[in-house]
Amino acid sequence: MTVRHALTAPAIVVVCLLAVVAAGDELQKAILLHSYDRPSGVVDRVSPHERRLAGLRAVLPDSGIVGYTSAGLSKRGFASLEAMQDFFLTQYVLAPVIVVSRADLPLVVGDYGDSVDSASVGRAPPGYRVLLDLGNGVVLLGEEP
Amino acid sequence: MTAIATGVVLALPILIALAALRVWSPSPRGALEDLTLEMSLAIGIGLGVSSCFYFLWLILFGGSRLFVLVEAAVLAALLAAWIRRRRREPRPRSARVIRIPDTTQRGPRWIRPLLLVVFGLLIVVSTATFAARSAARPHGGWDATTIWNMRARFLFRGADQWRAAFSDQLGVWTHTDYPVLLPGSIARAWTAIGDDTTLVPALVAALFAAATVGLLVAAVTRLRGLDQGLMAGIVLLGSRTLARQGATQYADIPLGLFVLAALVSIALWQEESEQGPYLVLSGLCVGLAAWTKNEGLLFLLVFLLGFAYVSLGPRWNGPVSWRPLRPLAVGLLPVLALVVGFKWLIAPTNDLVAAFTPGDALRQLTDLERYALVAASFGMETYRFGGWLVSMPLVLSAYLLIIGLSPSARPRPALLLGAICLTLLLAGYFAVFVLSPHDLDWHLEVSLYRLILHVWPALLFLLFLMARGPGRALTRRMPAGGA
Repeated sequence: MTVRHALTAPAIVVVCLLAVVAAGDELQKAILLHSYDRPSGVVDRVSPHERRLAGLRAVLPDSGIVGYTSAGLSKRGFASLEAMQDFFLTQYVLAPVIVVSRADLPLVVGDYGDSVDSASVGRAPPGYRVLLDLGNGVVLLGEEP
Repeated sequence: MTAIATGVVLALPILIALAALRVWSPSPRGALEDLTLEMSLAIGIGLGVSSCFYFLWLILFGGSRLFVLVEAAVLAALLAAWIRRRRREPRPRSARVIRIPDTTQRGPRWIRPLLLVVFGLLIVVSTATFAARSAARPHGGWDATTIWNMRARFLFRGADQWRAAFSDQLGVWTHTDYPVLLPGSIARAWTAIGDDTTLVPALVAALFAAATVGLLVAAVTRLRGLDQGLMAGIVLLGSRTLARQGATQYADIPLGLFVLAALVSIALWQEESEQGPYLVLSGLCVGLAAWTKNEGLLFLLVFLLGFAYVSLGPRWNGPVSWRPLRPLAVGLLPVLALVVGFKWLIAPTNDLVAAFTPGDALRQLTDLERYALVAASFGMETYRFGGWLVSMPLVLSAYLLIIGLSPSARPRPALLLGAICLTLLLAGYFAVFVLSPHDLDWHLEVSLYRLILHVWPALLFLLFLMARGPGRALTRRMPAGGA
């Protein structure tokens, strides 16, 4: 019996063991991820964002382009990765309306975050007025007539 | 109620594909691996072809859901044809089918129960992992919300205004030029049930992942015996990729399935004495790969190159023959026509192509540091792939060394074709990274791992076709007549 022959059964068992350990570890991580998200909403950022913007979908047209402005967006671009993610999540929620990161369109979505008070939310850019204030940092701005 | 409707709507194209396979297969069989193989192929082909049909329907008739009636009529016609065939041929068997005897039965008694228990355990654990991840992130990962599921929302919610899904106003990060198989499958089901429930993309992802496991295990079982098929399934399920990546609802697992299915179909076509629908299926799967992701277009190219090299050279069947090209084209061309039409008439320019300039390309091609960085990343990602306690590629290399190669590794042309395809595909990915207009570190970090997934199931298929079966490897050291 050669060494190679002697190692055949252990090789099969080792591959099986490593596969089971890796899959078990992966399951543990998945369960942690699932339980972690329950109270905080950190893992799933989409569902809370969808709830925040639900009121907008009802009033926006079925198609077309709307602008987007937020506390994390300036002329130089998005201030952070989170600000950029919020923009793309807004696009995901409001599809099939196209959302562009500009504030010079007839309709503009303003997303100022949950923590912003209503006074600052109501501070529309020059030439715009608040058409709808969802009360959670999200407003719909329209051009002044 | 939504769950039932979702199940019915997703089952419809899969049943159509299954019935078509049964009607056109020259030798339908009843063994479990044959049913699993057909069902796995039917999942990929059913969802893929139905997304083509849905997209054409969207172009012609807008957001009407009447396509479901057409699909139901097709299923009824195929079932009638199948029943007619069964009545005519009660127990069809092809005399020319070559079946390799399951030599693993000569192995020790513990091997099969061990493999069955481990495989069963991994199925349960992977299903639970997929479910937990899907529950934690019901909308999928980042690319699902910016690309795949978002496009599906545009198609479903936009209805007659579906072209907005491909507007260049959406920006380069949403990759509006990507093909439509995955969003089309999801939007089709949403349109049919009238609700964009998150259940649909999760179930579609689960079906593609399950089909990948089923196809790999069933194909290796059919060609090398059950023990070898189970080993292949154990490595695939144990490599941390399927459940985790499947739950992200990205298009990488579907693309990996079509790459695998194209190569499996070629191998089965050769094993079936070059009969039956498998060459058509191979062409269809190559087309569906191109309909899934842009990387599928690269696979289409390398597959055709490899197929031409293997089939038109002296390696296939002796003399040069154009004969295999016809059935391959029958499967490939309809889907390819759709892909070309989509790319030409609807999709905006790809971001990599748009940013391409000959000057930059020349500078990048002559920058040796880029090659070194890409090569190092490929090496590191390969070394870490699978997430085992010890590097999985090293373990599998050692396993192959110990177990040994099968003295009758076959079908050889299919193995050669597979090796050519996967090597050229990875070489193509390497070149794309070298020429990438994006920040190279970032580009490698966000995509390399997923690109390896495209070849992983097919690589395991080739590996376990070449390796000696576990039962046989154990038998060779036992005394004559033992166990």
